[in-house]
Amino acid sequence: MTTPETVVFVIDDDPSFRRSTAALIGSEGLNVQTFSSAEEFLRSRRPDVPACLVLDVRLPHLSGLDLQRELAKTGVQIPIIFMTGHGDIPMSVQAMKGGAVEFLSKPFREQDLLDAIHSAINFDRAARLQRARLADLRGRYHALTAREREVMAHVVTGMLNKQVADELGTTEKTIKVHRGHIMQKMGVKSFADLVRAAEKLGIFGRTS
Amino acid sequence: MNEIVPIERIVAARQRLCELSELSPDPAKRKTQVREVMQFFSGFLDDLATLAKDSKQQKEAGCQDQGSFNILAETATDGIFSIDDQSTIRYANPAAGQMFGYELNEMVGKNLTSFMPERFRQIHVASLKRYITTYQKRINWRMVELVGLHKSGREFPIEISFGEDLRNGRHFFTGIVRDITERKRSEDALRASERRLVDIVDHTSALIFIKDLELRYLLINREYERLFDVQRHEILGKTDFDIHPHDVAETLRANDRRVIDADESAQFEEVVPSKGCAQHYIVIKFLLRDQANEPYAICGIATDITKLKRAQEALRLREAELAHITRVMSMGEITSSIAHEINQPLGAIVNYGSACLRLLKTKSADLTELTTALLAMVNDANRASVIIARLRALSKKAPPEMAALQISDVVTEILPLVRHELARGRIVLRTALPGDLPPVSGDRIQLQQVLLNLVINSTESMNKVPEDRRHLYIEAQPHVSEGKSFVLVTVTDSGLGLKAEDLPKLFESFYTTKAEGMGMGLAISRSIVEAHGGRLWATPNADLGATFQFTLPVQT
Repeated sequence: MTTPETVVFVIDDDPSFRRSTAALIGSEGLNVQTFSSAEEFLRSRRPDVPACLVLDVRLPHLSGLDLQRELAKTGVQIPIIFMTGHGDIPMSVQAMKGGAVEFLSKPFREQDLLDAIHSAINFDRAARLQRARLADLRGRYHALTAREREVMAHVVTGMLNKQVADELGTTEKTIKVHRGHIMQKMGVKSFADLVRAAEKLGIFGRTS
Repeated sequence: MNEIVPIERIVAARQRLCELSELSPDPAKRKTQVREVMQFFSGFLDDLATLAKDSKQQKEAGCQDQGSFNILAETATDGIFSIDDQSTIRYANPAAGQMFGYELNEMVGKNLTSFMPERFRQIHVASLKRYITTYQKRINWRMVELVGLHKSGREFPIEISFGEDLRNGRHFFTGIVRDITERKRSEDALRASERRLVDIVDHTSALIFIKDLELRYLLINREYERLFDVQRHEILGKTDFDIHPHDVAETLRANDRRVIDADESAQFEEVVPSKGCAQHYIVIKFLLRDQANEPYAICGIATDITKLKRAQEALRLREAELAHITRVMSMGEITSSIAHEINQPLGAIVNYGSACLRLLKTKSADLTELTTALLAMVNDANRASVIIARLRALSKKAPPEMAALQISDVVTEILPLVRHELARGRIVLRTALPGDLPPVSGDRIQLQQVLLNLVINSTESMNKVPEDRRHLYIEAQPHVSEGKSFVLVTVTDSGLGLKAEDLPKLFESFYTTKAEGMGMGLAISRSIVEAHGGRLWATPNADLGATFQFTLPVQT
C-alpha cells in the first residue's frame, strides 16, 4: 500500500451520516478515513501527509470540542472542519476560537464541505512545509558550535565584524571565518537570508 | 248422638201424628201410611231410649269428671267462664277474675255484658237471642278476637273460644278467654316495623328487589317500579327474562347464580337499559335466610351510578387532554434531541445524493457504488420517517387505546427520541429489557409518555451533577405483588436525588422543583399508571440519585 498524498478524517458517531460523508468526500477523489469516536481517532496511527479533520461537535464521551482541545494540548496541528446537527452559536464561537477552519450545519451543501476540505488541506500542506523548513533550520542551528551561535547572534543584529570582534574580545579576521562557517552551515546564500532564518528561530537581537 | 236431634225429632214426630188424622180413603195406601208412621215412631222411641241411657252415663261420668274439671279450671292461665241463655255468668275461674280485675266469685251472677264495652252489649244480646231461637251463628266460635272491659274501665283485647251445652233444655255457653294485650302489642310492633321497612325501601333512591332461589321476583320497591315501568303485582313470579332484554337478563342471572352458588354476598356492576338509556348500577347481592339459617331468597340493592359513570368518562377525557398537553410539553423539552434525530438521516441523504450526482458526472460511475449509496438513502429516509411517525403518535390527541404490549418494545421505541439528549448530557445509558416479558394491557402512547417523562426528569437532574457520575439505568422485569402478576419498570439515575421534604408532594399537580417546569409530568404519569391498574412511586437511592418505578398488571 502506498502512502496517499492527502487524507480526510471523518469522525461522527452516527454510522449512516459518517458513511455518507465518506461517500461524498470519496466522490471528489479524496482519500477518507472514518472514526466513530474521538477516542478511536486518537488511538489510530495516521499517515503523515497533508490532512484535515471533519468532526461532529457532539460526540458521546469525548466531544468534538474536547478533541480539539486535546489535539492542541498534545501539539497535533490539523485543520478541523466542525459539523453540527443544529449549530448553536456558543459552540461555534468556541470552535472557531479553538482554530477551526469551518463550521457547517447538517445538512450542508456538498460544495461547502468540499471547498472547506480543499482549503483545509492546502492550509495544512503549507503549514507542514513551513514546519519542515523550520525544523531544518533548527537542525542546522543546533549543528553550530557555541562560539558560532554567539557570533551569529551578534552579526544578525547588524553589527560590523569589527564591532563583534571587540564585543567578543577577538580579531575581526576570526569573526570573518566564523561568519563564513555560519553561512555555510545554515545553508543561506546572503546575509539577508541569515537574518530571516534568525527571525524564524527567534534568536533575533540576542546578546550575551 | 247429637243433643239437637231430639228437638228436631220431636217437631218431626208431631207432624207425623198430624198425618194420621188425614188418612187416605184407599185401604192399601192407608196401610202404608200407618206403617211408615209406626216405623218412624219405633225409631224415635229407640233414639229416646238411647238418649236416656247416654244421659244417665254422662251424669255418672260427669260426677267423676267434675273433680278433674275443677282442678283444670282453677289452675288454667286462660280465663274460663260459663253463661246461661240469659247471658248471666254461672261460673268464672280465678284466671278470668284476675283478667277482668274481679275477686273470685264476684263475676258470678253478673251479666256477661258488664265485661264488654258498652258498644258491644246490644250486639251480644241480640246475637245470643237469635242463636237460641234460630241456631244461627253470626261469628265463628273459635278464637274470636273481641274487646274486654276491665273493672277499672280499661279496655283490652281478648281472644275467646265458645262451646255450648244443653242442660235440662236450657242453653249454656262456656267461654275460654285469653288476654292478648301482649300479643297485640308485639303484633302491632311487628306491623309498625314492617311498615317502617316498606317505607324505607320505597323511599330510597336505590333499587331493591328480592327474588326466590329460582330467581323469580318476590318483591320490588317503588324505585324499581318507576324506573322499569312495572308494577309490583305484575312482576311477582316473573324473572329477569320477562322484563329485560335477553343478553342483559343472562348477565343478571349469572351474577345472581354466583351469589347463590358461593353462598356469600358480592358486588357487581350491572348495565341495564331503562327507557332507552343504559343505566349503570353498583349492585350488592346477598342471600336472605330463614330461622334455620337456610337461604330462601336473594336480595339486591342497586345504586344508580350512571351519572357517576358519565362524570368519570368526562374526567377521563379531560385527563386525556391534559396528558396530551403535558406530552407535547415534554416533547418540547427534547426538541433539540428530536431535531438531531431527524437531521442526521436527512444530512446523510443529502450527502449520498450529492455523492451520487458527482459520481454520475464523472461518467465512469461505478454502479455498485451508486446502488450502495441509493440503498443507504432509502434506509435513512425510512429512519427519519420512523422518528416522525413516533413523534406524530406522541403528539396526536387520541383517546386511549388498550392493547397487549411488550413493555420492552414500548421502552425501546422512545430511546431514539432521547438518545441524543443523553449523549449531549454525557449520560451513560444501560438497559435491561428482556423481550420475553409477559404482555401488559395498556395504551402505548400514554405509557411512552410516562417513560419519556421519567427519562427527561432523570436527564435534567443529572445535568446538574459532575459528568463522570451520570448514569441512567432502565430495567423491566416480572414482579409479583399480593399474589398478582405485574411487570415492573425501573428508571434509576445518579442525579441530584430527592429531598425528603419533596417526597410527599412529588406526585402532586403543579408541584415542581424546576424553574421552567409546570409540575404536571409526575402527576399525569401517576394517574396514567393508576388508570392502567398499576402503581408509580419514587425512592431516593442509597448513594446517588433517585429511582422511579412503576408496575403494570400482566394481561390475563
